[in-house]
Amino acid sequence: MPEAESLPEIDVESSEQETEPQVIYIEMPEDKALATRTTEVELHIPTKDSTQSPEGEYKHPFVDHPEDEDGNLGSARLSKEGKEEAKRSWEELRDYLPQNATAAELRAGVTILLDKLKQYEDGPQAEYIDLINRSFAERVRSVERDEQMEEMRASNSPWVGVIENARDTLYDEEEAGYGEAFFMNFTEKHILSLKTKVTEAVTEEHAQKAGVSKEILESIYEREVTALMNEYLDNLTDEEIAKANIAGILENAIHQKYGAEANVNNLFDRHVNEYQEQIAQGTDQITANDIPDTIFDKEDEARPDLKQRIKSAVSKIKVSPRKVITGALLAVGLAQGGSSVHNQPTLSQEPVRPDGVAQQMKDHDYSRYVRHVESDDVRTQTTGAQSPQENPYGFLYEEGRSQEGSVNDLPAETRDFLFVGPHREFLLHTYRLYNPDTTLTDDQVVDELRNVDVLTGPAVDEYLGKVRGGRTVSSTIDVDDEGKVSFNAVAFDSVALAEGRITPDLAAEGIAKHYLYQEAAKLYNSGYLDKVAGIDSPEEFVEAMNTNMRGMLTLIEQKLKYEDGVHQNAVFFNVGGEWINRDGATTNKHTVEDAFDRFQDIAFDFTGFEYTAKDLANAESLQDLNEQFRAQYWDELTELGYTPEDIQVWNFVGFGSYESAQGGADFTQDPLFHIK
Amino acid sequence: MQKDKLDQHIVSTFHLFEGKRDESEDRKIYDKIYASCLEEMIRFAYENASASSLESLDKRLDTEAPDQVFADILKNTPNAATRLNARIRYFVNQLFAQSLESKLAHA
Repeated sequence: MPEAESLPEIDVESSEQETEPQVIYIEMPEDKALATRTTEVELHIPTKDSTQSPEGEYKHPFVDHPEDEDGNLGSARLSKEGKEEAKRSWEELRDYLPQNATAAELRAGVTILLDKLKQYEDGPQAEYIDLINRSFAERVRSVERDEQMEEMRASNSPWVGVIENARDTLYDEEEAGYGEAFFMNFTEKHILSLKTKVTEAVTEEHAQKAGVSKEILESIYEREVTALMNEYLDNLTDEEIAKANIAGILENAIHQKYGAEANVNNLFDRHVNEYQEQIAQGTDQITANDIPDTIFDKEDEARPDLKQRIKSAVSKIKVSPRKVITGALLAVGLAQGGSSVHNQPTLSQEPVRPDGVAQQMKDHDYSRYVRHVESDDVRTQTTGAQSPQENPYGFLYEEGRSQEGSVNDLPAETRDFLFVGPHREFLLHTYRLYNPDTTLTDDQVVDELRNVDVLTGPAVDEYLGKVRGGRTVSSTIDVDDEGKVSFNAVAFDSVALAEGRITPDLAAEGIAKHYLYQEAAKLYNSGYLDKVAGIDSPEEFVEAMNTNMRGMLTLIEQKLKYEDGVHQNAVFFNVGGEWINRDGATTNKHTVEDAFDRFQDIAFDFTGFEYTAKDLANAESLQDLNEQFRAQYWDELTELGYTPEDIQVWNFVGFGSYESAQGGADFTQDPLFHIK
Repeated sequence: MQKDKLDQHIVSTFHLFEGKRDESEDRKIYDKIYASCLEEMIRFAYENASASSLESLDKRLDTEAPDQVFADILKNTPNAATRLNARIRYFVNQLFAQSLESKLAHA
């Protein structure tokens, strides 16, 4: 390995203690295409001299070779310190890149950094650099998966239909032992992998022969295989459902229809001639009469209101559709800053932590990070809002929405469903949260709740089914005469309740969000948000909550960290874990307490052991719990293609695997609880 | 998708204006595809924009430029331009596949 000092781009600071890893600053190019914020990425790379064991043996502090049962050294993996260092250096790289960087931009940044590191690949650093490379690649891949899913959902891709069909057919909350979010996460992961297989089966050569673009040929082949998968799912017996696995769904569907010898590639090969012939014959002969008269599919037929609205809007438009479409695309693209980072404001080249968050708040659009949060998730009510004192049932309905009827107007079967099992549990929990001094018994609370007005009507359904999870829980905000803001209600959609879409997890997540909203309101009312981010009106506050939640949560986190003494990494798990960590924040004390309450239940359901909150806050106990999880599910999950880093406590609680990519909690196989 | 890219995609996918059909037939196909794409864009708006922003859609279309109305309605939808691009492009592909199926079924 060459000496670091001899390398022109790298400045190595001598460490006072030779046992401490030396710090290397990698100079990154001021690449305008990547909208640099800083030009240095700090990496900790130990030199050989600083990593001698007492026996004179080299041991890299960031790399482990765990021994197997026979004492043989296993393959290299990041040590605990190595994971921390990988996470830290990733964050350094993220500081260099724009906050809303696409997967392609992230990959470009990783490539630059790794090119710099190549100088160290020889010798003892090679394993570490390789592991960092893999760690970064997985983070980038995770962002890429999110992008692909977003595009698939936006385009109404038939793959989304397969994912939803798989959920409806294969997922059973009680049987599964894990949450729906977890199921959907690994289903999406595997369906994306199948989509890639299909894409790879179609070549440019095929497309040329067919006389159409590769994209069109892929589209036609996708229609065939997704229909095949849906048919397969629709015809599974109960016994087959119990054994079905997502990773093999396409191959199994093909085998069932075309025999054991058939697979993705030879099925396409078998059909490509047919496609080519049909396309070549048909395309030039398509007439206007062959173009479907209506875009409406079966789902739309069941929604005459939407059909009517579209027809009505179309009838009002007197200019050419082409002009409207291209004009709207251009205008909304410009309004949202376009998809290119070239259009973004130049950012400070100074280090941005911690005060730089304010600059991020001002200059960046974090909306891509706010997945599943609808634009009107937080809405302003300047009139008519009721405080909890005025309306203790405020959490059950939403101002400004339809409030006709009551629970008792729902069909008896639906109404009863609201008050048994988990729904009853969280209704009671939420009621007591908002009415802490009540002397009512549980049964009396239920009697009360049976008669309160609730949100009914179709409004919420407009959102559901379009975005996974839907917006079924929301908070409402009030602005008083002095311009102070407050969140006064958590609203649960009763339709979603009745249909079982609001699980205790989701309800708890809503409550956790509400706590965070309240923290945000406090920061706004104190003038803090004005001082650090220039947010000086309720409207700006609401807009920030809607579109810039991650930045807001970062501010809350900082405030808590520095003023309330909550350690930044004290708790990664919380009751709204998926949502909160997706947006990259730790949380407050209330959610921590609720998190443990909820986690106790999950832990009991899973293991049969009654863990106390103290147990769960203890790393050893959690390790034990994690081991039990692994013993039960590890093999199954690895067969599904999960890497060891995917399978840990987060998946155990069903919270998905995209947090790390969003700048939130990092994955580790170690316990995540470190209460201080 | 740039203005010309969508247009190029439609024209090349359906082999329009290449002299393979009467130009009047090409024009009919072209117009019909754009009309369907417009419906799809409105559908996208109803699925993604806030209910309140859509409330006055019909009234606004009476007096304002429609492209600006939709841009305004979609401005708070995260990544609206990217998602709408993907949506319309994919829609055109599906329209082609359906048209082809229809042609072959009646051949």
